[in-house]
Amino acid sequence: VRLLDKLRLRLRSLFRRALVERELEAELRFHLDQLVEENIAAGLPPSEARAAALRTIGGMAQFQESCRDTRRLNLLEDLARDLQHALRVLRRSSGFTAVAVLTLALGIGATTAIFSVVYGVLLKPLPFSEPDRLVGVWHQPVRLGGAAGAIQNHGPATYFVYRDNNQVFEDLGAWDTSQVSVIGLGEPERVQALSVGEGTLPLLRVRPLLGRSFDAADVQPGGPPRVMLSHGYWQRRFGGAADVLGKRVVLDGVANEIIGVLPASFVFLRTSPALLQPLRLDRANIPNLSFGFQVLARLKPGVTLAQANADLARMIPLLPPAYGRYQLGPNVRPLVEDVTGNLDRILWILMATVGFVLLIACANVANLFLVRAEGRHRELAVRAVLGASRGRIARQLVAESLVLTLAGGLVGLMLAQLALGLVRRLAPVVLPRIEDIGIDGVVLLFTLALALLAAVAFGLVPVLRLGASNAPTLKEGGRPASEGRRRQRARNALVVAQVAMALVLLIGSGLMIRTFVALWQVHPGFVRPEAVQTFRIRVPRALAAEQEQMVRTHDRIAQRLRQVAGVQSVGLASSITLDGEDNMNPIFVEHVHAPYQKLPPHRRFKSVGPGYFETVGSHLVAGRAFSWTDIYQARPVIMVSEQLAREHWREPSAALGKRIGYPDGWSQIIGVVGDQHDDGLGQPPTAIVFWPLLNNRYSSRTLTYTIRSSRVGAPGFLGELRQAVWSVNPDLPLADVRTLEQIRDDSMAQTSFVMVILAIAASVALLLGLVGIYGVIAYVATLRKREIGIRLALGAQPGHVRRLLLRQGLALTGTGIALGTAVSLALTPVLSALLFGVGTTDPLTYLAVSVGLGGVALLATWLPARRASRNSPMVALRAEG
Amino acid sequence: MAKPTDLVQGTLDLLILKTISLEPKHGWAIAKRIQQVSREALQVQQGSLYPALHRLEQQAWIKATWRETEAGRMAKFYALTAAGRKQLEKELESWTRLSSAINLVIREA
Repeated sequence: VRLLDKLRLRLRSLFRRALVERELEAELRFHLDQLVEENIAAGLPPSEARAAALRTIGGMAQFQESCRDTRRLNLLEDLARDLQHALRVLRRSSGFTAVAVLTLALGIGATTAIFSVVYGVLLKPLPFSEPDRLVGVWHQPVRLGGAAGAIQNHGPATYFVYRDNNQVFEDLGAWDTSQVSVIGLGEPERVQALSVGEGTLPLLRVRPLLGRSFDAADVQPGGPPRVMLSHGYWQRRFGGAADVLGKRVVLDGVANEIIGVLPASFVFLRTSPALLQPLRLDRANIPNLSFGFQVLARLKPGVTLAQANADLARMIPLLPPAYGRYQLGPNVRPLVEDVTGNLDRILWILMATVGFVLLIACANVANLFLVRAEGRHRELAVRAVLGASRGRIARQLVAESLVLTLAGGLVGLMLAQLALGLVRRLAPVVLPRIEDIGIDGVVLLFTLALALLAAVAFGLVPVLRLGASNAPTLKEGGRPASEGRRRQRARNALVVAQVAMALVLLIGSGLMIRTFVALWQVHPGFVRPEAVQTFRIRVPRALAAEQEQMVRTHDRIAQRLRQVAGVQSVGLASSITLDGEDNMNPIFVEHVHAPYQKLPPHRRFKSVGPGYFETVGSHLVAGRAFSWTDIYQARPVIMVSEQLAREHWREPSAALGKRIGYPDGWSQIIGVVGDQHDDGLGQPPTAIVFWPLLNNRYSSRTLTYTIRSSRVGAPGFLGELRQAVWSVNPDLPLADVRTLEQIRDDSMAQTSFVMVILAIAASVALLLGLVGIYGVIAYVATLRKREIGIRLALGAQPGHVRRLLLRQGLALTGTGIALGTAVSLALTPVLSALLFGVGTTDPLTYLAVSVGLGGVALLATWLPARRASRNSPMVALRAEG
Repeated sequence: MAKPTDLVQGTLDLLILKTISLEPKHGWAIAKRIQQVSREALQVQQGSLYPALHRLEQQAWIKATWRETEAGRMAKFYALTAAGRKQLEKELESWTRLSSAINLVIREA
């Protein structure tokens, strides 16, 4: 009870301050009045009685204050008072405050922005219940020849064997993505679809908002076509109507019954599907060897990744014998890695980068604090003499840095918000879950922690200074006879560290810029991509059941497109360079690969029509391209890329007339196409086999149209193209509408993203580093004013004085550059996976950056040095107090 | 007029607690009462009385209420709380111990 009473009283004095004060005054007034009455009773006249009473009482205000003291919640109120005082102090030195806050804001803002990306992309748990138990089930990648194209996913055989025989999973869920055409709901539309097995949604604990999920019957081959809608698509196309269940939508020409709607919270890894379809697998008819979809799973409670991998390894021998050839290895990993992919490395590099910026900013502010602590020596001494305890002064100083860093954090948050806008614009291709990135509670906590950490650090700088000189005394409060060597050394060390860190960031961004330029110079296999419009069209079975009919439909559309004003040429291909389509298949070369003894290397397959190479600007290095006659007569002809031709026959022209394919049907090579960097500009050219559009080995109902025209990007052009397509068939949606230039830029997006962030970080680092050098030299010049004055008075030339200061600045810069070079040599190897056409120790970059940094640092030194040397000796001498 | 004896550190609390142990009093009355009972030997300075009262109140040993005095004015009356009564006993006991110890030393030494 007593504790409660005490608490109540404390709170009362804290929050009902006015009331408490009134009471105190009334109480003391009562006492005073009693005293006056007593004096009157003793015979004094009233006025004198009052004066005498006041005299007896003494300083009324003073003991009012001491009454207040007993009531105070000291810590809190002192803090408030300290903060108020800090605000006043900082407002008075507004220049210092502005520089410190801005510097901190840059550091904290950059760190906050990148942290919110790291958190949103890498750290935030997946939006499913108990995400820790969710795993992606993969195999160790099996390389099949060529740069890309490693197999690690699943086919029906692996799925059924693992699902039936495992001991570690609660369930496994198959999934795959595709595109489907939707007609009958306004304009025809091609949308993302996600196919799932019957276990997938239940194991993710996703419950439909309306209707039901797919059951075992739905995933049987030949079952009735059924579909679920995503929340977004349901809103967009059905206006969120509740009676949507049981209605039908026409997908790829087939009417599908809507059986469910997903909740708005549903997002699936890196995909954002509009529709969900059952992934139908035929248990009775499992192909011998096939890979084509992905599998995720939920671990049974308590099962570790290692146990899951061991269990998978146990089951691999149970697969059909044909799998033995691939020597599969298990690779069960956290599901979140299916979202983040290889981004963690990049993002942590960027995080480290902005960490450097923050450190540089902190070094700057610490330096400012050091300088300021010197200047305030006298003030602190006065306060100490007036009775402020060491702790009290320390608290006051920490309060000042707290105010500064919190302000810096606040401005930093605003900067971070701006920076995130930039990130969102730069990186939609690079970053998954980009809609999850933002300044949320966790990010705010992070920023607050940063600011508090910085506040304690900076606050302690002058406090330590205070401790160093034991009790500050007024006596030495005047002119600093000679700068403390130790203090100067601390400042120098900070500047050297700044220069070194700035150099590291500059070299990093220099290497990225060189990479970007090198990528830009790669000839991808097409020219002037900004003048090529591309989109995809699928001709569904319902429209043209036969292969030839299907190809003729595409041909007809292409002909109509050619008639659109301004169109120079139109090409057709199953996929185009750099668009990310990846189809690798084994193919034999006659007389090279002995049939059926060993699997021949896998090659990228594409099927193309006449005019495609000409449209995108791929040149033929030998032979000729397909003609419509080749295609419609189904001649056994084929084309290969230069890379493939050189691999087997050294000279492209030597490939002509050779035969590749399969022992039951060879095709003759009629042409060799110049190199295509299909796997990325930074990757070696891909070995590609080009099939004619119509063939019985590799043909596709979905073709990419490439249209070269000077009108690409002009208003109305796309509409005319669309009308041309729909004049052939109004139910054909256009998908992936983009220019070839966008395709190329998207392929470079990761490089550009890293480059831009690094470049921004490096620029800020450079700026802050220069401010640091400038500040220190300017300060040294001020401290040595007297000395300089004497030197000048004794006849030293201004040039000599300048050199004196310049030498000091250059020594700092030089040390910083040497240190930074060493650190860069140690650190840049982490960038090596991101670099292309430039080594991590590229001498040109190192030299250019060092010279550049040295140059601007020289300028930052020269400015204050010049000012110091121009002072007249008298002014300089008088400057000392 | 002889200079009033300075109060031994910490005894003011004891005197206050004792003075209001019979009935609640306001600050003025407490000071007067201590003065009277000690035959003017102890004069409590206002500058120490009120901070002490407020301190004791913060400790929840005494409780304050605003009441009318006999003369019809409003004043802040202090009364002992249960905890205050215990505290008084404790302080009395330690005072007795201390003063008898001092007496012993003075007499025997």
